[in-house]
Amino acid sequence: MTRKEPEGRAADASMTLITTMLRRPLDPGYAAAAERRRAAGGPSSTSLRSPLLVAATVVIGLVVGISAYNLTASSGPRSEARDDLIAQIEERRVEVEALSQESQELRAAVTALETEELAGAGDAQYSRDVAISVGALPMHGPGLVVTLDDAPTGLVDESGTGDQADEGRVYSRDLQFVVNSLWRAGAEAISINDIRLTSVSTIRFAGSAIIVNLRPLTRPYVVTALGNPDELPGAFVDGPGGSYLSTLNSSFGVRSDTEVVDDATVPAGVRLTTQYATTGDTGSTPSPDATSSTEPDS
Amino acid sequence: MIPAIGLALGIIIGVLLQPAVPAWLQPYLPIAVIAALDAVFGGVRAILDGIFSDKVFVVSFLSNVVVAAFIVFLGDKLGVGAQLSTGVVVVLGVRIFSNVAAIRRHLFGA
Repeated sequence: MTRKEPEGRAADASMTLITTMLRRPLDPGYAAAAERRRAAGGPSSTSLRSPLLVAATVVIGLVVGISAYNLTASSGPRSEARDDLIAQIEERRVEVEALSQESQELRAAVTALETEELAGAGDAQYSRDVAISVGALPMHGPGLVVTLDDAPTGLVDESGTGDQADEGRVYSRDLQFVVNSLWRAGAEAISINDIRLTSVSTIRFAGSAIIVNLRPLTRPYVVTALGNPDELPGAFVDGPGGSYLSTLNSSFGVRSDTEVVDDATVPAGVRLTTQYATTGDTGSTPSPDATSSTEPDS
Repeated sequence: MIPAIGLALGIIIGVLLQPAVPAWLQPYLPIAVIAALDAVFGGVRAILDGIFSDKVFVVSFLSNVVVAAFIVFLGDKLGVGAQLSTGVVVVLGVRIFSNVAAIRRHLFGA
C-alpha cells in the first residue's frame, strides 16, 4: 500500500464485509447471551447437559447421516434403481431364451406331426421343401463360416480421433452385404451367431449394437452358410463378398476369416409367422402382380 | 461429552435407517450439512471461549439451515440456484474456517 489513503477512511474500508466475516465469525449472540447471564449474576456459560442441546445435536447428526447416505452415489436410491433395471433386463433375457427354446421345440413337434400326417402323400416332400426354404427346420451340412470382428482396439487408438475409431467397427450394412453375397453365391441356409436368417429376417443397427431379428448381437459375428461345398466357397470369395471383406480389412482394419467346414449346423428360425399380403386399394387399374402376391408367404 | 454422543447417535440413526428423502428436498441436503457444520464449530468455539449458550446454539443452527435453504430455494426460482448455493457455501465455509482456527488456538495455543 504505497498510495496515500484518503483521510478519515480505514485502509480496508472497501473490504468491510470480508473483515467483519473474518474477524467476528462467531455469532455475536453468544457474547450477548453471556453478557446478559453475567449481568444477572449467573455463570457466563450454560451447562452442556440441557435436553434442548442434546435434541439439537441428534438432529444435526441425523442431517449429516441422511445426507451421507443420500449423496453417496454408490449407496443412493439412484444406483438401487439402476441395479433393479439391470436385474429386470437379465430376467427378461432369460425369459426370452426359455420361450425361444420352447418355440423351437413346438415347431419341431409340429413339423414331425405334419410329416407323419402327410406320409405317403406327395405333399410330404413339398411341405419339407417349403420348411427348408423358409427356415423352419434346423439344418446341417457342409458350408462356409465367415467370422467378422471389429478392428483391434490398439490399432484404432493409434490412428487418432474417435471418428476413426468408429470406422474400425463392423456395421449392420457390412453384415447385410456379406449375407446377401452368400445368398448370391448359392447358400441354402444362413445363420448369424446362431440366429437363423429367414425371408423375413432383419439386420439392423440400434445405437452401437447390431440387431438381428430384434435380438442384439455381441462380437465376433459368426456367419454360418450351408451350401454346395464345391461351389459356395469359391463363388463367395471370388464374388463381391470376398472383395468387400478384403476392402474392409485394408481400409478400416476390420478382421474377417473365411473357413470351409464339413459339417456346420444352422438352427431353425424362431419368429416364423404366417403372413398374408393384401392388395392395396389401387383403384381402377389392378396391377398384374396383385394376384400372385396374395398367396401365403409360407 | 453428551452433545458429542448425541451427534454420533444422530449420524448412526441416519445411516442405519436410510430414510428416503423426497426428490424436492435433495438439493437442500448439502446446504443443510454445511449450515449444521457451521453451527457445530461455532458451538465448540463458544464452549472453549466459556460463553456457550444452548439457546443461542439451537437458534443459530435452525436459522442457518432455514436461511440457507430459503436462499437456495429463491435462487432456484430465479434461475441462479447454483450461484447462490456457491455464495452460501463460501460464507459458511469462511465462518467454519475462522471458527476452526479459533478452536485450534484454544487447544494447541498456536
